[in-house]
Amino acid sequence: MLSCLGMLAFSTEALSVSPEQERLNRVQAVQQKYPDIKFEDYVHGALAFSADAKAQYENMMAFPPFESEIDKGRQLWETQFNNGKRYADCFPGGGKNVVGNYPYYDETMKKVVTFEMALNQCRTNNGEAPYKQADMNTMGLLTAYARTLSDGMLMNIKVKGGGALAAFESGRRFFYQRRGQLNFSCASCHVDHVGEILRTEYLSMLPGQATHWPAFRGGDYTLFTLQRRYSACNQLVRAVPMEIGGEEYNNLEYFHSYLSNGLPLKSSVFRK
Amino acid sequence: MEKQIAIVTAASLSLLLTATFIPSAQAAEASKPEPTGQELAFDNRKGNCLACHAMPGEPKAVTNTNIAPPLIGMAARFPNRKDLYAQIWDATRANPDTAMPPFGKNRILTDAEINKVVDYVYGL
Amino acid sequence: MNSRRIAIGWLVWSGFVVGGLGYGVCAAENNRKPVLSAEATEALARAESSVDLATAKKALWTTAASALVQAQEAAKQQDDAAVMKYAAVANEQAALGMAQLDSPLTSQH
Repeated sequence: MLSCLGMLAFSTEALSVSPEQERLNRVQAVQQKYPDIKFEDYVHGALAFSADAKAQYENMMAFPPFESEIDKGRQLWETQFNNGKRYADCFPGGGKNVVGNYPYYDETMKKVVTFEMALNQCRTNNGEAPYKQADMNTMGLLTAYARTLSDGMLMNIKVKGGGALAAFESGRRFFYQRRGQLNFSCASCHVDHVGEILRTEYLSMLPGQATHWPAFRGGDYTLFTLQRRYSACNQLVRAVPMEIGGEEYNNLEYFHSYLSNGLPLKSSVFRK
Repeated sequence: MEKQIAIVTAASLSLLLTATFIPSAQAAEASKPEPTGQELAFDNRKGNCLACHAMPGEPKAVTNTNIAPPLIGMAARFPNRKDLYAQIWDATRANPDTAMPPFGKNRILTDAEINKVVDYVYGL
Repeated sequence: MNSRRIAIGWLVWSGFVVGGLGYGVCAAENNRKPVLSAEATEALARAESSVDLATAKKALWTTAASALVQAQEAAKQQDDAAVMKYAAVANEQAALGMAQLDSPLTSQH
């Protein structure tokens, strides 16, 4: 009986709360701190805290200056493989309203599969070489268009079974683990100081952070996939980044996307 | 004649030896003036205090931040200078959940640099 | 006349001998040159293995990685003092990165 209780204590420590409880806790914490910000506006991240910045963003998004880049992505998406098939043939509904189901935990492969991995699986299943996931000129541009086909879909990540829970927990640990010489965790800023101003920039909230990717960032509209953003964040705190498309970032994206469940996707957007 | 040859031989040998032992060039470190406490505090590669702390009494400090307590009246808040030093050295000791980087523990700043920053911040 | 010819012969031969000798000295020097002091070599090896270990633990800091690059560059210049200095930084920053793994998760209140 005692050993049974010991086991129970151990397992609750390993995963202190269920994924859904974790999500609810983080959403409620933001709601308590910022009762005037609507849940559906969490997708705007830092912009949700500044009406001016949000208005500027909406002006820009009416005629995005990076439209031609998204067009390049559309050409990649529509170009036939050598065998005559297309990306659209690899996804239900021709790739419409699918991205909210990614990442998912694949029980056969025993790992998390991101949308980028699914695009590469589509390529290799059709006799094409996979893209490098860190390459913004191929994979980056491809997702800049492919993800627009799921605009408006609600994030709908599922964590079921031991393998999925372990992957979620690995991503969760990554989010809360201090790293780099500057000793920040992701949560140091985006949970503990959410909505506060780091020098001049508001700190976005964890729920919603995974919904608006890729983003064209800064004055020169540099394309960032979500995992490229992870890499840049890690470097800012002086940690050597993990591999884009590697297991650590895939698990982080799994956790991160689950925490955005119920919020609508939009691609491809401007971010500072 | 043999003496002459010997001299020539010795001379060429010493030339060769000299050529072999050219001292390796030492890269002269450019001598920059040492940064002041304020410069270290403002520098975003060093103290970067303004990322998280406002300095209401310091007109040169440009920031909108509201993350951490503003740096003002520091001598009253830290009657013991060494407490301020300890806070900058490793803030996680006082608060394990703090977002403040441990400048001394992680060698973000040297001890000498921390002392300069403490002197500067103490005057705010 | 005869003695002069002998003298010239000597000069030519001595040139060869000295040249050969010189070459020998040079070669020996060149072989010795890339060898750092035992102390610096050991410090560099220690830094390299610390950085490898921190990489394997996914706990490497950019500061450790760049200090190791500087130590390796200094080793190419046979600069013992700089090798010692940067290797020490790389070693310490790698150790701090690994120790960071034991720090508690943030934001669990």
